[in-house]
Amino acid sequence: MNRLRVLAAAAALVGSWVVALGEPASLRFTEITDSCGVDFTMTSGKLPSRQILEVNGGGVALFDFDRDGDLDLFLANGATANDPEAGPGSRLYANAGDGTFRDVSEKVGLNVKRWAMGVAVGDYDGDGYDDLYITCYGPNILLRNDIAGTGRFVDVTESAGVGDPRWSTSAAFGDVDGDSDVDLYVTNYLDFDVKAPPDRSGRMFLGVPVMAGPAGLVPQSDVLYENLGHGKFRDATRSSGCVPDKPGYGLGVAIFDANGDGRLDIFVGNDSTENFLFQNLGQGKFKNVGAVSGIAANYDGGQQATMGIVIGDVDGNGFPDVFTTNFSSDTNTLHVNLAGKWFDDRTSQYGLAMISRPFLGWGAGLYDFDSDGDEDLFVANGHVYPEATAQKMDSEYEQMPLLFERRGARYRRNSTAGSMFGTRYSARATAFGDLDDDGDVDVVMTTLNGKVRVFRNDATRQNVLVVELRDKRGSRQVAALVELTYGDTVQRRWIHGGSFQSVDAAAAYFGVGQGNDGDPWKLRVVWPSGETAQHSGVGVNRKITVTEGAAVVEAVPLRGR
Amino acid sequence: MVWIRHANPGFSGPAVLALLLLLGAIGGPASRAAPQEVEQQATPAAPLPPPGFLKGCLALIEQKRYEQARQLLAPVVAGHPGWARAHFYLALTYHKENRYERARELFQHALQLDPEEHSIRLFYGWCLYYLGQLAASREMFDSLLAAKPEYPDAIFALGLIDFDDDDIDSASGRFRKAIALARKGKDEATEAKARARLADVLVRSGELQLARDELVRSIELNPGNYETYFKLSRVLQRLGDSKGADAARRDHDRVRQRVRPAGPRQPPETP
Repeated sequence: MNRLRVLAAAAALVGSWVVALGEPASLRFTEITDSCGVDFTMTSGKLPSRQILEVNGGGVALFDFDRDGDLDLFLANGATANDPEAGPGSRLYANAGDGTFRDVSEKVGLNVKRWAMGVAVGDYDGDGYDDLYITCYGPNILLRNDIAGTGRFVDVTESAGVGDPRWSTSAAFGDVDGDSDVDLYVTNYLDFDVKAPPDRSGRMFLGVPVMAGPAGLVPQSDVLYENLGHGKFRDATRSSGCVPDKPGYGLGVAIFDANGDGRLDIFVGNDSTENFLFQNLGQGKFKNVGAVSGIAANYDGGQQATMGIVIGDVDGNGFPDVFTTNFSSDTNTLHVNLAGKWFDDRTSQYGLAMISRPFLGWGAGLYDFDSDGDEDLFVANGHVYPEATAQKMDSEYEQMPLLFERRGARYRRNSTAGSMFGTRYSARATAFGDLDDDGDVDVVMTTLNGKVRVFRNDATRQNVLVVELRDKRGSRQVAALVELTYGDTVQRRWIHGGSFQSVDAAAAYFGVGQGNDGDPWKLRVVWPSGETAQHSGVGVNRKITVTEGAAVVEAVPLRGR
Repeated sequence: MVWIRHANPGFSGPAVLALLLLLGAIGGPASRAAPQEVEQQATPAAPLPPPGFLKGCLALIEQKRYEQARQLLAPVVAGHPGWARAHFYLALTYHKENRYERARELFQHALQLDPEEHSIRLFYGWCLYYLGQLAASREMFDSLLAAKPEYPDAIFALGLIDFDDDDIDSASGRFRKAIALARKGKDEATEAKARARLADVLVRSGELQLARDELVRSIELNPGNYETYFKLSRVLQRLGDSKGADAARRDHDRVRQRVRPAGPRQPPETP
């Protein structure tokens, strides 16, 4: 520990909060797509894409649908323009417990053929089993998880009242009104008739004729569904105040407590229009503070094409910072949260600005991939315009994913952590979670009309702690803050769903370097109710389950270690 | 060799090219040509275009008729592969459209043909900057300043690169130097953008009132840069002046609408 303290002091001296907890770790990912049993090609129209409907691709979710203790995989699959109601269908893969999967879609009655876009996971009925909300081009779908009963997923869209018929993209569950059940926010994109697509003529990007949209097309407003209990929701968009001055082209949403007041706020990422931050005023009321807080646009007022949304404490001040992925010839953006009141674009400060200009970013994740005590960043990339080449648009159609390793106060691109970082894909959605229960974070990445890719984290093994939550009703998908104190360091994770159209594992992953098994740790959890709980224990390489209201946590060794 | 400003979207446009013409910085092959150009043009594969050809092309660029300029320049470049200035102007047509990869190749070729031409080096440096190739961009601006140490736009550019490298002290010093040189040269546009960027540095260090002062001065110097109003609104908001912030935001929207009306997806403005 002396060495660690010396390192911590040195880091503090240079003004960095980041502390290397142990020996330098080596980032490493290995593609296991062909061996893990996920052999699936996504559908999103046809290539080359000719309409804006075809370019987003489908989302992905990692969640434990059968409560057997491992992460299963859901894929929201699209269709084609000639029949958007009858695609090849979304899929559900069950994890065998060792990171290998088998398709159980038919077995569990998953029969979603409609053009699916994204997915949200939440236990809307509080039975302890995670349900699926699938956003679509066409009416969205709520599937109740009845695995414990009939062994199937049951379509309850109509009775629940959540079948928004418009083109929806991302969605997120969260108890935004503090009544102990999860509400649902759905982002909608734009008005689009696949049978009468807008005229392409005159549409140019960097002098190249391209498909139409979103500019010139009519944006669609989002919707906030309030969970009334008993399996019913109501549209509370207007009554809650989640109504901006102008609707945006919604692509992403994250529900988290942005200002640390104990209430869940709603951040919405919009394409080419201002982002929204609906501040929770309590009692189910919200106010859009996007522009006032500084998160609506980048540092110079640019309204960006926000796709992916990532939450993390990049500057270590205890407040959630927001990283968003954007279009090519623009930069991704990191808004640092200044004590819950202001957001300041600090993309340059952390080394993430100009390096991203040739890339068009989608799904992303901020995780401690090398378990060294700070969070690294993964960004999936790929252009929407089939015409894109470096010559024509300064950006290729297929692009490499970006991995940024946190080193001190900056992020540094790491191109050698696996062959995928030198391979070009038409990547879209991502989901992050520990597929093989070894405590480090693996990656699932979809590609447009291409294979779903699975990357196993093979970084130098360091000690970890994995924290999962259960609310009072046993629900696992809990939008909450988990804070770990270990040694001299404090790390924070906001469990908030996922990035673009997707859902990450509902767990807080902490790397704790080379600590000893007897070192004590402390946990602080801020639940959606605003209540705070503190727990302590010893031992690393464990999965810790914290139940709301319980005095004792459950800690079990990671099976994959 | 003369000083010219970089034609970046926020502060550039026809005025820059007009300035180039006025200064006689770049003319046709008869008016000014590097020695190797003369040599290579002595045995051209195609006949030389008429006198004033390049001035005509510049006029088209000034009018934002980039495609037309390209149609004139492309065959000339093909017929005269050693003509640096024609390559340079063809590169400019792409650069002005934010098509930097295509411009980069042409700037690179033009610079190989005429390594002494500072204006090529300046635009090439900016082009590399927009492509995110900051190390190469820095090298280009450094090489320019080695020959012309008091070139404000190159100093400003290096300040931006320092800012992206999180070297705040150096960025601040460069912006201040660019401001001083621009004032000396009565170059209000460069002074305005350097002040706006100095404000970014001051915001980073929490000196909000000083940042506000720089932004106000920047707007006085260049009221057409809508981004500065946005930055001012952010600073005023944080200083507790909500009314002022709202007014600055409205100014931003108004000027932005005028300068950059809504339309199909466009690449964002660059620094």
